[in-house]
Amino acid sequence: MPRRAERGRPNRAPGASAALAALAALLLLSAPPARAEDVVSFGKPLTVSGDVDGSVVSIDGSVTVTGRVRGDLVVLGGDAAVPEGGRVGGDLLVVGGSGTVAGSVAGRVLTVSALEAAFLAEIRTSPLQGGGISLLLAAFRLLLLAFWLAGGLALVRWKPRRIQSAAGAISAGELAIAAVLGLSAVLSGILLATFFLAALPSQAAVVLIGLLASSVVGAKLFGLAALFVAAGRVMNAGARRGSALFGDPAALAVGLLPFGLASLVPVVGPLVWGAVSLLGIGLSIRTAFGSGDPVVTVARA
Amino acid sequence: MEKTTRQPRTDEEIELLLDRGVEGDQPALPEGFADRVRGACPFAPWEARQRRFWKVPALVLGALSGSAFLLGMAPLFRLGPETALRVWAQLLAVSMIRPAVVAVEAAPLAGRAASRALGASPGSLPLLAACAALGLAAMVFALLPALRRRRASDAAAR
Repeated sequence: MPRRAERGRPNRAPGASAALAALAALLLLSAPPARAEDVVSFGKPLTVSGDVDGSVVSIDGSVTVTGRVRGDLVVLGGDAAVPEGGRVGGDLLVVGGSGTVAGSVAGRVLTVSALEAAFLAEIRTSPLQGGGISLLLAAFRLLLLAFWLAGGLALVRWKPRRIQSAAGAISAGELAIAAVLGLSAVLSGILLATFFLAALPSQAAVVLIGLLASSVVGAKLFGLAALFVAAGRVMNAGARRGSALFGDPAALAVGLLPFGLASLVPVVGPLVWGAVSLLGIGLSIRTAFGSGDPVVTVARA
Repeated sequence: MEKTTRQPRTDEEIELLLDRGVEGDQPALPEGFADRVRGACPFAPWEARQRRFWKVPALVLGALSGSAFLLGMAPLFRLGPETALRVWAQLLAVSMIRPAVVAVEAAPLAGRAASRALGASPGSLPLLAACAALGLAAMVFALLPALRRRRASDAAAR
């Protein structure tokens, strides 16, 4: 009889590290050089009254162009103003601020207001923020919760063993580790996305960032499903076979409710949902998407 | 079959009952024993395919999407049902699709901006790459214990 049990796959860590190092080296070699004629500003307001041959990039500071910028004007985390008489030869991109154009912009004007609207719905999860109640935003948040629930239920339906394994592995100690892992994963993802943007051609960067974002969303979905199942099991502890509340699908639905409804509460809501999301991402990594042994709890007869 | 209400007291007693069952004799099981065994069975993954476990999830999903629909429609109803539906559909399309389109459009510019911002401070790009690689390596190493446990479990099963 062949002894397949002893023929384990080799440890992949050295291979993975080497691949990462090679990827980093490749990306570094392909990085475009910085140009001397560009103007880069960090954390302070900038007024361009003369001529700039290259592009102007401002991070965390507003820019006013009364003169001429031959390249692009990019403002991240600030406002951009091109009053009458001001000229931008390339494109104008404003992220996290407003763009006012009375002068001329030869290229496209991209203000990421739609993106901010999505972030508003996802990051500022409370529709009650800011005092006034927006029914439309509340409806949008509830719809997002329904999407998360539908995604989690799909996982419970088609990957029940993995969800059961991940949910069974949850303990106070594991949650602490998952929180650290989740935070590390998100920070690494942001760094990696910035690196892709800076070092790669834009189309490749968009594809890689898309893959990265999909991975994070997938990890969040799986981890949230496992977390909600675990929470629901605690809440449904009294449910016996035959009860409508028995089983992982019901546990997921019941477990999502307190977290989902808490996410609608002003101030606390975004913190709760953010923390739960980080835990979910970390839990997915910690359990390798539930690939460990299933943990089964037997109810007392 | 003879039935008794006496509870089996020890594991040994249960083992004896099971042994007798295996040997073919009709064992004297305590009343409700089979029901209690069935009731104590945990939820098995394969049971997720059975419809009877999906009543509560369907109810919660319906409540969430229904309340979203009603809340979303409430401010729009004075426009008339047709206009309200169209506005709601456009709102959803703008919220869900437009951000992705804008992100793709803005990526080249953001890339150039990031490149120039990093180029302005020497050494920042390698530092960024190193931090990102370190973070990724940490993720890979975090995954390893679970994957090893899985492999060990698979090997033991074989």
